[in-house]
Order: sequence, then structure tokens, then C-alpha cells
Amino acid sequence: MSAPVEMMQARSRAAPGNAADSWLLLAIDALRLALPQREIRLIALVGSLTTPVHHDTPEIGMLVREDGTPWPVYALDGALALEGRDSNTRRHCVFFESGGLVLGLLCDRLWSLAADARLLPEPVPGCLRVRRSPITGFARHRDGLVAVTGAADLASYLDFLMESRHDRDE
Amino acid sequence: MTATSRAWVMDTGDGRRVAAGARHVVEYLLAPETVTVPRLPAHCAGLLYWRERYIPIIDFAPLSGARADPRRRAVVLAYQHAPGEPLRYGALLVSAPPVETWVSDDMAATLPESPAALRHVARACFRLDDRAVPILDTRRLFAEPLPAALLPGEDKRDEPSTPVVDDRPVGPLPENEPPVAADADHAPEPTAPGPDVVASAADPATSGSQEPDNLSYCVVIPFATRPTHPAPEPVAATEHSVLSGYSSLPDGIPEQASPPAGVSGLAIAAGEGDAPSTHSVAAPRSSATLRSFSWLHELERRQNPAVSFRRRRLFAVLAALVVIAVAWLVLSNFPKSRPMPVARQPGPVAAGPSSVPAAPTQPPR
Repeated sequence: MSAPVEMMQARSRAAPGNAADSWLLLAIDALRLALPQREIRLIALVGSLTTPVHHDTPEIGMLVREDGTPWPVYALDGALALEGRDSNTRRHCVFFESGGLVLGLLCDRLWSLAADARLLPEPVPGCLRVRRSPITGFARHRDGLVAVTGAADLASYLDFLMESRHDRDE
Repeated sequence: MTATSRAWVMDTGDGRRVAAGARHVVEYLLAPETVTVPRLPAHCAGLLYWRERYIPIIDFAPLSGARADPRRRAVVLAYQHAPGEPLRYGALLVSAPPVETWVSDDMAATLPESPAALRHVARACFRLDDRAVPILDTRRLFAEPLPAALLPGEDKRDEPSTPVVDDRPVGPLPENEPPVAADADHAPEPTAPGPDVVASAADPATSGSQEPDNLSYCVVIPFATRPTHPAPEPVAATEHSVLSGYSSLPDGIPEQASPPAGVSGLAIAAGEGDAPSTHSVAAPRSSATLRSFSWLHELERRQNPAVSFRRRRLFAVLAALVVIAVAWLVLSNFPKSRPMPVARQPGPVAAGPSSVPAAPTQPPR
């Protein structure tokens, strides 16, 4: 397996200006997901991932670091449901950190919002909070809807999906 | 005299009607463009981008197992988390324009048992045309998640792990959006009467606690500005919750002593002092009442420059086609309509003295 191609490595320290408002947009099918840039650890190509031996694992791959630490990678579709390895066609992987744990999420495209482009997320209305969801807000960007999330919410949601999958398998 | 409350009855398209207090009904949309987002509950059709914000759209059809009508419209409703807080909005899918009605305590009825989800978001019920019409609690409808047990096909394990409290600040409000008065809106309940009336200067006790006592409530229904009408005047005040329903209308609303001829409308003017007797809302039946949003929406549609331009262009095209058709008919029938002149058969000319010139004529130089 070739060495991971590191396209970009985000720094955890604050960039000049308002780093808390800097966003990375991920395109997953028709869904546009926004993550705070300060929570991004690494962006890599899917070709640099290691494929797990077992096909029944929820991860579609993992990135093994120099120190041997594996970073698991997951794939979601536009409805935020887990995708299997065979149906995955996405090329990019975004690694985010939450509570010391680094997870990866595949996406079709990704781009960073310009420094002067600001998202003004609105909280999710209460009537929509019936199902578990990583989405914490909605914003308008280029005449389209962007779903806003965070590393902690995304990690919690992935954990919930894996638990549900485990319960179904039993 | 029985106190009456003004309400709007909405057809949700599955043979069911619901109602909302007049001060909660903001706008009627003909073609709402819904955006789907992941992980929506069954009764939420998606989000609607309205006035630079995303608001949820509720669809009651799945609650009764009915299929959603793809040609549906929407009514935007307002609510508050607590009295005095900024207005928030949500939309409800409907099949027809809302219809205004006046509700009194003697119309109170028992809430139907099913569907349970609708019962959960209703605050009261009244009987209209021998049918029970639940009155929506808009805050509970839009601000609180419905229990998964009340929704068909929902998995209780899929509920959020911790109760989510929406305590984050809402985005910046538009500059012209006023603070809302205390919610003194009460629908008639089976046991406790709670009239929802627009307080007039003569009845300050029923007004909200944050409204001046001497404020009379007049909102002028807008209509297309015509040369014969007087110069338009802006709505004087929008602090009252009734007026907030008209804040979406364009500026320059002409003030009239009575609605335009041939058009019904509720003429209420905003200002201090006593309300004019002709505009008294304490006796609503004596004044013309806005019966449906169809007229109001038609008015807005006419004032929409894009729509006006399209209409003018359409009329121009139609006029050109008519002219072309008439011209073709005339030209195609013209030769047939005028009989051909009968050519005179040249007959023998009788030679006579008169036919022979006396002297040869000379051509002119």
C-alpha cells in the first residue's frame, strides 16, 4: 500500500481571524455537511486506506499512522445511513477528532469556505429532533442548504449507528 | 354577548381540518419549495427557505396513513417559546387556502382520539359544520419533538439520547420584525372560556400585558395602487400580534374608509386613540371580513414585478397571435368576398360618324 497522500493537514491552533467560524464543507451525494475546520486532523485519499480483513465490519477501511495507531474510516450516504464497502465510490476521506478519538468519514468532494464566507447556522427546530442525527443546525450557502455538525456529534452518531447495527445482527 | 375569537381553518388534505388562532397565521404560500434533510420524522416534509431562514414544514398526512398530495400549499404559522421572546416560524402543508371563521365558547367540542399525534399538538377543539376541528398549539407543534410512540414507523431506540433543549439563540432577526406581545391567545376550551379577540380601546382588559391600553388596532388591507386611490400610507405600528401577520405585505398600503368596491377585506388601522367606528373589530360581523387568502395572494401576485412582466408579455403574445389570425382570415377571405368584376365582352363597335375623330389628335410634346 502506498504511503498516504496527505493533501492537507489542518492545524489545531487558531488561524488569524475567527477560526471558530471556519468551515470545511463535505459533499456526500446531495447532502452538504459542514464541519468546523479546527476539528479536522487530516484529509487523505481513499487509496491510502487499509482495507479490513473482515467484510462484516462497519468500517470500510482504516488509516494506520506511523506509530501504528489505526484511524477507522466510515462511509455514510446522503441519508446518513451506513454504507457498505462494496457500494462505496467516494474518493476523499476527512479525519476529525473527538475526545481523543480520531475517526474518518468518506465524501465525494470537499472544500474549505473562504475566510470571508460565513455560515450563520440556525438551530434545528424542535419538531425535527425525533430521530438521532448528527446535524446541529442549518445554514444557507450559495443558494443551497448546508447541514452543520461537529466532531463530537458526528462521532456520537457513528457510535449509535454501530450499536444499532450490532443490535440488528444479534 | 358571547365572546368570539378569530381563527383560520386549514384543510390538511387527508379529509382533516385544523385551526390556528388568527394571530398565529402569517402567510399562505402557493408553491412552497421543500428541501429534504436526513433523519426527518414521518410528519416532517422538510425545510422551507422563507424570509432568509429555514423553517420546518409539517405534513399531517402520514399521521393518518394518507398519501401526501404533491400539489399542496403551505401556511406559515408563528409561535414563541415564551411570551415576549422573538417570533419563530413553521409551516403546515395544506390543500386549499385557509378559511376564516369566528369561534365562540358554545362551539367547543371534544378532541378526537385519533390520530394521537394530532391530539398531542392540539390545545382545544371546536365544532364546525358538524365536524370537530382541533386548534393547534403552534409552539408544541414546531418547538417540541413528537414522542416517537405517537408517530407511525418510528423506532423508540432512534430517539435522541438526551432531551434536547433549543436554548441556542436564534439568528439575527430582520430589522422590521417587532417584539411580540404577551400571548393572550386562548381558544375556547370545553370548560374555561378564553376569547381570542383583538382588543380595542373600549376593551383594554383583553389586550396583552405588553400592549398599550389606548392602542387601537387597525390594519389596512393592501391592494394594487391605482391612480384613483389616495396616496398610500405605511402601516403605523406593527407591535400588535395581529399586525405582525401583515408585516409581510409591501409598504405603501393605501388607507381606505371601506374596502375597495367588489372586494372584501378587513380594514383595521393602527394608531393611538379610539378605533374609528367603521373599523370597529369589537363587532366584526358589521364590517367586511377577509374570507380567504386567495384574494390577498392574488393581490400580492399582481404586485410582483416578475409576475406582472410575465403577464404583460403573455398578453402581448396573445394579442399578436390574435392580430395575425385576424389578418390571415381577412387576407384569405378577401379575394372571395369581393366578386370578381365581370369583364365586359368587347362587342362590335358600330362605326358611325361619332367614332371617327374629326381631326387627328396630336400627341402632346
